[in-house]
Amino acid sequence: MRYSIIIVFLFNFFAMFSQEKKTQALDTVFLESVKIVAKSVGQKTTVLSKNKINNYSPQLTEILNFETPIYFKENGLGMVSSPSFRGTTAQQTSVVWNGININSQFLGQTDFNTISTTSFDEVVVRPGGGSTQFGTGTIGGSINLNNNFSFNKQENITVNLNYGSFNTKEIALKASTSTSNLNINGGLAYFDSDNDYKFVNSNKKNENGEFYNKSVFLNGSYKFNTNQQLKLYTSLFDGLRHFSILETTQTRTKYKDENLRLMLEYNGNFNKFFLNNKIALIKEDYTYFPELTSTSNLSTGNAISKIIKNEFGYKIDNTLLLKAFVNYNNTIGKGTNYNNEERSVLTTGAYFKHNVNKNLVYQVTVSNDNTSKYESPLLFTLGSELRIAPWYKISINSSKNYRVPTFNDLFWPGAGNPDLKPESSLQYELTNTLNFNNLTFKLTGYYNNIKDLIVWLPVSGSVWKPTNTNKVLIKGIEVEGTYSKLFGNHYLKAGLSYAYTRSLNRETNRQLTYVPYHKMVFSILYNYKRVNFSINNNYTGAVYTQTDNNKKTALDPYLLTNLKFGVALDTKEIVNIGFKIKNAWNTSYQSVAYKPMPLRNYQLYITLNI
Amino acid sequence: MKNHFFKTLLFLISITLFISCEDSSSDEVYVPKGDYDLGFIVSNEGNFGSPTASVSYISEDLLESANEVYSAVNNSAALGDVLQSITFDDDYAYLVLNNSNKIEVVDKYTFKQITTITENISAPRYAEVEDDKLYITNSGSKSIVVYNVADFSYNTSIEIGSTVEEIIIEGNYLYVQNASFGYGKTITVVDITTNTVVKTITTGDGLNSMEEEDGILYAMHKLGVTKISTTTNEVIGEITLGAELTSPNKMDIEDGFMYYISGAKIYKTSINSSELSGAALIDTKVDGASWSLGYGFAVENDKIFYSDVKGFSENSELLVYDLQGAFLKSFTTGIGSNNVYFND
Repeated sequence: MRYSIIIVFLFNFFAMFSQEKKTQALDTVFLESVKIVAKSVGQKTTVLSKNKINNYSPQLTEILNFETPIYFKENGLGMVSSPSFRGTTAQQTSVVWNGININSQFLGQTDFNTISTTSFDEVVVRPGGGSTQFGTGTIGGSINLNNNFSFNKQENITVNLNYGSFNTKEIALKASTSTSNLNINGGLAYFDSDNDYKFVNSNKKNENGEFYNKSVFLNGSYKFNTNQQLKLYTSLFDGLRHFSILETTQTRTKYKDENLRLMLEYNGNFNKFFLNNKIALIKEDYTYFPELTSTSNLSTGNAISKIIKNEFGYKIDNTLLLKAFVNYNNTIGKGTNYNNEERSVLTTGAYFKHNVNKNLVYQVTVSNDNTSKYESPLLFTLGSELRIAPWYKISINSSKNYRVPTFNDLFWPGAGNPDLKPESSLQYELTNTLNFNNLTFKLTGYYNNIKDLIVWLPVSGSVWKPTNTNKVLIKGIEVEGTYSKLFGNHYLKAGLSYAYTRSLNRETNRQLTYVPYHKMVFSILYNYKRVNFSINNNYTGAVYTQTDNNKKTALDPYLLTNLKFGVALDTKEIVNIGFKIKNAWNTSYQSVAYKPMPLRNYQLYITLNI
Repeated sequence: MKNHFFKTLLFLISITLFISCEDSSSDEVYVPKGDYDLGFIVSNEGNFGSPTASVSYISEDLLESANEVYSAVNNSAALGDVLQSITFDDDYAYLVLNNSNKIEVVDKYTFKQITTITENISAPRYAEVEDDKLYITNSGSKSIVVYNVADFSYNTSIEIGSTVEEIIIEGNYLYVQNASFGYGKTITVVDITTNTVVKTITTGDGLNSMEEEDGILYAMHKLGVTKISTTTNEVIGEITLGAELTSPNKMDIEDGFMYYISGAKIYKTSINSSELSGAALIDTKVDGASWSLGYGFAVENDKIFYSDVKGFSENSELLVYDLQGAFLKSFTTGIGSNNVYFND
């Protein structure tokens, strides 16, 4: 019934605009993602373009939840959100900002609701190991947040206004200007929600769940000549969230995040030699208010990382590429629970890539991290791709990866365990890629063996302590398919991604908690002249919440569907309006036990491209 | 709520009358006053931050057991977030829910909810009832809050100003342990006739549990047991650690013996001894990180209970032994079983 109403509505909508012409610009490939893809021989990469980013709320969780098989544990909408990528733990996914790993020094993970996607031009998702490239914690995969520069002598301004259920407001302003050798781009965004959604079959609602965040970015690039280029990146995020409660009598708390990222990058090409140098400063700051209205007993943390990444390349000939890299990272952590804790990591490594012929390529990366006080294993990545037929390619990859204990693991007062060993992971994967005219199909199998997994166990109700307890064996299958076709004024794009994940604790032979066996995302995008429609689906299978795989406390599987209708009001597509329906089937679901998520909700938007 | 309360009260009174009649006419037969009379009540803390606290029941003869007792008799309602402790008086059981900032008052025989106390409750830990007054330690405000049992109304607060944990009431004095999670070494003494602090007693470091027996307060700490007279409130002696015993904790006194644990082992020493025995009565062989071992330990009605909370990541296993240390049975209870009480 609900289906038919929507379909009828859809057809009416299209009929209204069927007289218009002009097709929407298709997805564009940018530079930064090309670099990542070039270094990912044997691994898959998914590039989420600006168009896709704009389709979702400006928190990184939603886009990845609907575009990839990554599972997110979200403590209620907009609250703390942590990933499980290919069956791994939250600390085993790296979030990489323009080549720099920005996972929290305290927690070892990124809270995906504290990343504003408005600040980025593309998000590149790469499943599988990558510690040789992005350092500690790159075991399940990496999420790359990129900014790009173009020198097309154009100016543009984009204004995006969004309003929806639960008094959710989003305002984003972006501008970019360029000459043939200079590009400056920047933006401001504000996102705010009362987030007081109703719970199903009850008169309760999400209490104390409101949040807001502000983000600012400013990037510039200057080309001295065709061989040398300087880039400057700035990104600032400031967010305040109340932590939602289930019972009115519970203590109301809030949490403030402040993140600053600065980086200067230099690129130089001199015949067969080339250089890439990055100097970055990453500052993370949090304050936890154990009582909403009080500023006493605050818990704070502040970490400043100074990072230098240097890469020296040498093109032996057109088919052989050799690189050496030296990275240095120094972090100092302060706060109510840390006493000027310092950590330095010196990374040295080499990279070799050989295009044997136009059908066979392989790469080898070897690196070693010297972390103060830690023995890190020798890390490597091996990858190869063989094109057997124009329509068929086989890719293989193997890597050794690791994760060092975080500041909290080591130093948390009364709980930190200074005797922890780093986690290590050895993994293999194989992908078959089939390409036909409009259809791409990928089938991947992987194996990941993790040792010395660091697990926090409780000392008492609220005090926990970390130990190297478990061995985990993960085996998975991934299926990916995309289809796109342009016929006349019609453009159709469909995508599907399914993952089967078996992530077992080897001592108990039980599936890890919060790892679904099945997750599938499925989307259709349709453009006709100035009108666009998209439908995004996320099916998530049941997850266990207890280590004994108790079925009684497992979370039920769910299907979420988001619909979006948009239209450009003029032929130049300056003014665009539309609306979104989220959770169209009004599914009652939770991704973390006892943290209900919103039912059906709506949004209206207007986007101006000037 | 009130209506319900009075109805229940009336019901209880009539039942009590009825039972006292029964008792006087035939001394041998005791009719249980509800499904959970004359049995063991297990408090399951649950996971911090989620409403997974629960109550389990085990019959006196260990033949029957039930989980999720509170939900079962109260229309599937969730009990709350972190069941820290339970206190019983003649009619009611007071369920102290730390992270819900509330006390659920239930009929102690049926576990039917009577009322919820929330006024001035802030991160409550333990409770005790004396002379129709309910005393609750409030770790959020570092004070003891007092309620009238007659109508569950708020009475007064006693400021302590430091950590407040377990309480014991003896005569006119209330003893509050100013130590938690193994840190702290003082006991504050409150005169409950005036609700004023009269003294602070210093024990050994790492004070972790207290018990009163025949006018003596036994306070267990990392290095032994400090004995305090409850008439003079003076330290009258010290029981030292026996060989090979480290950090004893969770002391319970039953029939003239102190029972306590250290890691996965359970020990027993006469209360008149000058040294704590280091020879284990029971090795539970429970495996786990040292801090989660013996999370729940109690000696009640001639049985020893020891819980394996399995890292709070699944349901607990509760092991039951007799006082000689022989293993009797094990039960699967709720998440984070932290104590066992005998309901009579």
